[in-house]
Amino acid sequence: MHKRARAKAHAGIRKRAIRRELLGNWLGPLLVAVALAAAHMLGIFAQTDGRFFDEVTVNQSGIAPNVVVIERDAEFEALGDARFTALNASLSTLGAERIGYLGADNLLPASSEIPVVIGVPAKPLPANQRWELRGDTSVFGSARIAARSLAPSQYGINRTQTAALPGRDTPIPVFDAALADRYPADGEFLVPTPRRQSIPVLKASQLTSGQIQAGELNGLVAMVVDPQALRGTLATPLNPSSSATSEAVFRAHVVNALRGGQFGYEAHVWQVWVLLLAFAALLAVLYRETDPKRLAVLIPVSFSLMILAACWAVLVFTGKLLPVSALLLAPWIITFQRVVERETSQDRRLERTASRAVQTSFDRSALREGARLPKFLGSAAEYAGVERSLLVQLTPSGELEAVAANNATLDDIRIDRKRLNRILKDVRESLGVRNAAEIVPGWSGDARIGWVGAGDQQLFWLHTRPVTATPGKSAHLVRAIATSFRELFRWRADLNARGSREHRNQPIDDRVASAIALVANESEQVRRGFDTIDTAVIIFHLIGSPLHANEAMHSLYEEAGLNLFDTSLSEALLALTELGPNRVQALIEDLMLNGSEMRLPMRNLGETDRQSERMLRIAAPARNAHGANRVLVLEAIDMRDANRAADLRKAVAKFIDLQLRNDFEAILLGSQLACDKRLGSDQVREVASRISDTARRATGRLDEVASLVRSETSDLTEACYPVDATAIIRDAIARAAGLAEELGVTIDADHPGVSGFTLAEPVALTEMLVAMLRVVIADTPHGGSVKLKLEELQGRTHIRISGGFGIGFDRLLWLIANYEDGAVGEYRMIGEGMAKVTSWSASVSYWGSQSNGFGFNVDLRGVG
Amino acid sequence: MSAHILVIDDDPILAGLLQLTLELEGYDVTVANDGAAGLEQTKSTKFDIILLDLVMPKVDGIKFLRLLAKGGFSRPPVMIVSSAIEEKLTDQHRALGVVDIARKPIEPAELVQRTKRAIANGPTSPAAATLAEQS
Repeated sequence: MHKRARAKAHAGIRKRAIRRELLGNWLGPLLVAVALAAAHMLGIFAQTDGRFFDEVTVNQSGIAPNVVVIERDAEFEALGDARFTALNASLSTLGAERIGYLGADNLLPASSEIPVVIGVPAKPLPANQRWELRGDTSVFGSARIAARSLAPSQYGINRTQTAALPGRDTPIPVFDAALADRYPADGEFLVPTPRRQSIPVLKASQLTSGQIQAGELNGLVAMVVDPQALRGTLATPLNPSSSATSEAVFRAHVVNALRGGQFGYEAHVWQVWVLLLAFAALLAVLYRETDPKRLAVLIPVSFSLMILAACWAVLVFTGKLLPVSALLLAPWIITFQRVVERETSQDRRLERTASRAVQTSFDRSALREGARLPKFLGSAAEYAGVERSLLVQLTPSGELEAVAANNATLDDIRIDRKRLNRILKDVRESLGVRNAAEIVPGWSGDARIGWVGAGDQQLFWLHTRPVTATPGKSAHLVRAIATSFRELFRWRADLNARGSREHRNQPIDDRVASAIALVANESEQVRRGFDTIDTAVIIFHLIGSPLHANEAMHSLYEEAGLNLFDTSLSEALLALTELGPNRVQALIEDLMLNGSEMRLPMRNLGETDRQSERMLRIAAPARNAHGANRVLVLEAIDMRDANRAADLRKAVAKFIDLQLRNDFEAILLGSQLACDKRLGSDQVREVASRISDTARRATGRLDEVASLVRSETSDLTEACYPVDATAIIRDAIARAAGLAEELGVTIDADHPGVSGFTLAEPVALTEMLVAMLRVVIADTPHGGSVKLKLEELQGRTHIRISGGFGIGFDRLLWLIANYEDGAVGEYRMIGEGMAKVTSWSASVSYWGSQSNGFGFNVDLRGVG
Repeated sequence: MSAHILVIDDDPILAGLLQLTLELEGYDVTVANDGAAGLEQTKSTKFDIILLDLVMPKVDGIKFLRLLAKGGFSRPPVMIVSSAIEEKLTDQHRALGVVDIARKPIEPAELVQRTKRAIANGPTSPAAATLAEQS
């Protein structure tokens, strides 16, 4: 069942991924390609494509002319009826291949030595797409009759021509094609008109008068035109802005192009579609592998240049005009589409992430209950010393409502409504705080009003200035509270109130900014709180990399010589515990799998760690054990206090044990004696009195330590209790022995073999004695000795440390008395110890004189 | 002639009660309130046994035993009566002249019984005394 659900979930994820892949990466670019192809088909890009064709072809170099234009000049027209026969004969002599007459004339001869083409006007057949030639063409004998027609101009510019018109039965050749005797497969073709193309124009009279030498027109076709046809009437690529090109010259270009194979075609429909779709697919693949936003300029620019170059090359070398405009637009539109798509998806992702972050923050903070925020404001203000506080809300209907009040009501507001509205508007717009005496005249003290709302929430806070012993600090606190409240409220409004129209239209950036601000703010607060914890804590990611550590853990890592940022959990455990690599690995594995908790003794980190008895607690909270966000927490718990309390209780127990044993012995003996008949009544009374003395003494001893037994561990940190003074002396000697050995000094100790009980706090006493020993040792010449004597007198324990070359008493006094200011090391510890001993009913005295040594007397209370 | 016992204990109540208990059994008892006073007594008087407490001011029980061993004067058997010790007699104890250890609290009758036995057994062997001197 579980497997099936998981498979279903995986299938769902796969389906979503495929859909995202198809929609995001492929569909968009392909739709753009389809739209561009359709626009191309509709002729939207005809003008720009034509301009491209013009720019390329007009600047091309020309070819050797294939055609010569012959003007029927006035001199020729005056030659009489046989002039056309003479012209035909001359052209034949000159080597012309074909003669084309642009326009019919009844005098044209019925036959000629070279082929003749006559261009006559054509007219469309009614209600038909077909054409027929005007007039009777049979009179022209063997001459080929062609239509004198031009293809329609493109946006006023003539750059195309057709090879033939659909006739009634058969196609009617167009004059230019017939003269060139070339019929391109596609009916309509593009006519390049290079500016440098030479089109020779001769007068017919020159030919008939024999001015041109024979063979001069070899291989050329002659286009005989009337002067009318040489007048500029067409706008062509040569002069696109004016009708300056003559029909004869344009047709000469057509004939020249056809005969020279220079004519071009527009790309076929299917070619346009294939080209655009392939190009879109190429861009889709490219953007799938790269970031469209980062390459938003580079790719379109470079592709545009490549397209221009490719289209130019194709046009020049194959005569094919590609859909250059659509191709040029494609990279820009597809890039835009991909960037928008990416931004939209990023916005969605950001919003989801922000929502999750905010939800987490809400769940863990006071923000979860937005409605309670005003109450928090009220209590915070009260702590800051604000006597009167009134949080009011201006409802959409313009009514005022009290949201939270402290020692104030809405009735306190006594101001004209219009004036109030104006003040509220000013306050909101300025986001500031202003005097509110005229709003709440009944309030004593300095009344203020400030805006603390957000979005639709029109919240205003009326309050008095705090009255405390430190008004400056309190006022600052109140300002901080108001600012903090306003920010919290704004973030909450930004992020949580999705329903309102205003927030639906709010840019995602604002919402994300609010989320980041909220999370960052909360994270900072949590971090600061975290740093105040004495216990050293570090949180590791599931993979063992460190996530966050508090100040205490920073110090601990420093102490252990570890780098906080690149030490893994296993490395940290190896450094901080005595465990070997295998055990550490097994431990981490178990924690990760089962989410349990373990405690390990921490390695001693050296001299500075002497007094620190720490335990490492490593835990992977079980409730997070199976989540992706699981963490491992390493905590170094300082056991000093707990151990100290345990030591104290052990010492107290020992004290009670030994003292009561003594007292019970006395009671046993006394009881036995009291029953002994050999004793007289006076002696029995004496014994009974001793029994009761013993009982009282035992009770007194129990009372003496009762507070220690019953106190909380936290209260025992610096408590004094009955300790074994000899053991403390031995410890102090052991700790000072290193320095003594280093300086060649011996410590002569004199202490009882068995010690009674002395009232002290052992850690502080030991620290002080070690410091005393060290300063005396340091002052003692090599080979000298330091004396330490522990003497247990009735009710007192006396410790005397002496030796050294000697320090003047004034100097010694200054060093110890000023320990808080300047003294360092041992003298500071002695001073601190002296400050503590008074609470144990003990005292410390010292003496010293130059070259006569110096010393310390510690007088402690003995308790048995 | 009755045996002479020295009781060394810094607790005057307990010392007094011990003295009375032992005197009722017919012993001659002297009390010293610390090790130093006890040592002084041993210099001037010959005792058949010393009942010694360990935890005492000035000179504690252990120090007393060492000084007694080094003192050269009479060395009666010592019975430690203390709450600060286990009832396990070791060679080290024997070397210091200890013949018995009674951990407080002890039944008065048993204490008397063990005192009687210790007096009967007499002081430690010379070998043990030599060991004490070496230590």
